[in-house]
Amino acid sequence: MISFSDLTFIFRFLPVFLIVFYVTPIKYRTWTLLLGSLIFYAVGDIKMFPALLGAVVVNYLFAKAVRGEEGKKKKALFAFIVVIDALMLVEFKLLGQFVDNSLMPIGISFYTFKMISFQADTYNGKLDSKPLFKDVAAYFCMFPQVVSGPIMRFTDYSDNIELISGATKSSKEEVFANIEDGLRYFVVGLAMKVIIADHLAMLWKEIATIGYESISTPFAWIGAVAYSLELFYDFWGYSLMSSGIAVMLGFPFIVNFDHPYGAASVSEFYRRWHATLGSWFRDYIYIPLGGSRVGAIRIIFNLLVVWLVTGFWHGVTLNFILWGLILFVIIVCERFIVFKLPGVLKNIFGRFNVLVLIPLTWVIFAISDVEGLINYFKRLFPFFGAGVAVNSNDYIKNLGIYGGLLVAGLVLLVPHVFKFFEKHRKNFVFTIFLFVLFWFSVYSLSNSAGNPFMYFKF
Amino acid sequence: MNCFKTCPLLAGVVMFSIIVSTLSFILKGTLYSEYATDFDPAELPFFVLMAKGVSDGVMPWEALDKEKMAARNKANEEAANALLTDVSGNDVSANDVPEEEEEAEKYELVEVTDDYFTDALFIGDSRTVGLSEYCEGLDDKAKFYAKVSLSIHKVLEEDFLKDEEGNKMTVDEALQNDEPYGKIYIMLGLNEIGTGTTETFVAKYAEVVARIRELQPDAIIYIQGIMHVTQNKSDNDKIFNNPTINERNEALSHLANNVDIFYIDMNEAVDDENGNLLEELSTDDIHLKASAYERWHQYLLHHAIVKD
Repeated sequence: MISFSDLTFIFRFLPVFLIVFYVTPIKYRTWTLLLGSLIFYAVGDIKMFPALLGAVVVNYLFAKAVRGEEGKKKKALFAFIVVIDALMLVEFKLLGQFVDNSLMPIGISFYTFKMISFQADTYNGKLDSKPLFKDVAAYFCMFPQVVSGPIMRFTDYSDNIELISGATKSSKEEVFANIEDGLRYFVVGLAMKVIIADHLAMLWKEIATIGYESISTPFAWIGAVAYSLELFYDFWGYSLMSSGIAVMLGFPFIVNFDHPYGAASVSEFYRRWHATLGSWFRDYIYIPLGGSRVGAIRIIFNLLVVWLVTGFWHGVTLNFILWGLILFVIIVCERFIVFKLPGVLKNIFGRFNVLVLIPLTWVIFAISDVEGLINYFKRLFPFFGAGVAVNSNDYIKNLGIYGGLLVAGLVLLVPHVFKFFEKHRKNFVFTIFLFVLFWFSVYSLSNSAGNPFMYFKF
Repeated sequence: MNCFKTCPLLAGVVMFSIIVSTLSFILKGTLYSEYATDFDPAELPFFVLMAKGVSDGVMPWEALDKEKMAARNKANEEAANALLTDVSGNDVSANDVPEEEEEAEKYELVEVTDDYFTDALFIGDSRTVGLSEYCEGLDDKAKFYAKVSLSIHKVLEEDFLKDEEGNKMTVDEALQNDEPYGKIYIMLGLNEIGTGTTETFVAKYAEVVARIRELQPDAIIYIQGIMHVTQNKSDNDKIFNNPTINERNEALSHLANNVDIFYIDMNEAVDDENGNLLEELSTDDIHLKASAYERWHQYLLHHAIVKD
């Protein structure tokens, strides 16, 4: 149930929660949100549920203590809790990777980052009033975000909490209009995830089954595109579902993906890809280190720190560190070389970086063993040697199966397509379209439900 | 407040959910009964039954057609009864071959060249598809009637082949029209391993072999044992594991008469010392990697029957 594209979540948890939430008297709604979120989490990961609870209580108490102190003691308390949060994240990630996968609490990468940002904002006095425990806890745990973000800031939560549990009572029409609008985003996100991402995942799996050393060069490039699209629509779809649910609850829509493939450079790409994570790194690591207001050497060092941490945050195996380092190199090159070129050249290099280099970096992101990675790149660039038992027509068969999905995925990369939908989403035609899209996704989910082999027949 | 004006999508989704759920609930004992056996309504919404049915072409409006429903119930009953019938009745080896003939001639497995496969046909699931795609030597010579997710239950009836005019046709039809084959290799049995029992599986297998025998009287039929999965898969899967595969292979081996139906087991070419598929030959624990199909090919080259 911990996934939004799960029938139990869509048809049981979400409707029941919405009804209970809106039936609850306004001033207790935060409690409903907190309780619902805790149930959601406990059902998904009861084993590591105590880790979340502990982190919530400790962080609330420390923030309270930090607010009550001044000077050095305040700084020490703040540093201490940030170190605790960071160590908790590192420790569980290492345990999950090297001991047992189930020891990695669901969503820990996301909720610890929320906690660190909350502590930093508290320390810097950005939060004006004293937050109540129920608000802090509901913010950390809220089920639309606890699994995979977006990493919302506490101010974005508290500024809007009035909307959901404040004195201003919204009318019945407003409530239903919110649910309707949230549902629209949810359906689009669901379709991206279920129809595009989950099916392209099968193509990527097929490549692994064949063995990286045995794919043809065209197939290797199709694979790189397919994986890039899979990752994008999986995460963008999730983010749309997440933000859609938040809209249903009365929060404003949070933009986590702002058409990254429309970016003109990798630096811009990462302001638009998983934007809440990028801005987190900017505000809590890059700027505290001095940001861009320092000498060139120091800027390079700051970027290196940010991208090494980004790599580690995504995963602890070597390929993630390599992925972060390569992005660091590309971004440094852009900053000190490409951006200084005349307009047209700058644009050409920037677009090339986004449309060609980014998919290649995703291949590094995807393949965690070094030997497999080397084999894959040898097939992408076949002048380093021939493959083993390659069927040079493999891509034709797979284009026949996945061609339509790849085209759909590529078309949706063009920013205007989604923007057109967003603008006209309340139009009658789009309502029908979304209705069909929803049931088609549900149909696809139903046929894989209880049958893990739907995507995996022999 | 007008629901369809304020929230048309929500209203539509809610209403449609209610309709399909109610229909599924009503039809769960009749039209969709075969999907309801392992279904737990605590885990999934009711309409999943209908969705699964629709994907198999069972449309809800068929419930209105009384004749069709009656026919369907009858067919279900017959299928259930067929599953219960004794295997021995279908045992091809016992029926077709008198004991003394078997005594008279013994065939040895010998080594051959790729030319041996010029008049060979391979029938199988995704693993045989892989063999056709990643074993050029074999694909150039032999014919392949293979499809992902093919099972012994559907192998003859499913119309996944195309004739010369591009019309769909079944393996049964193809075997009626094709030139006589010299050898027919079959490897099936993994997709259906979670359904029925070893007895029902082998009974169906015997039926298929008997039908192929009838259509292609001169071909040597090779029943290939089901290829193993890796230890990682075998130890962690209640259904797709090597003990079950071995049990079914053991039963399959008895279908051979060693005259014109032979049992061969390529697992020896890909197994580790514990009888599991070698980890390094597979990334998904079930299929061979492209580079490993050559082992299967070599096995076939070294395990052939030559009649003079």
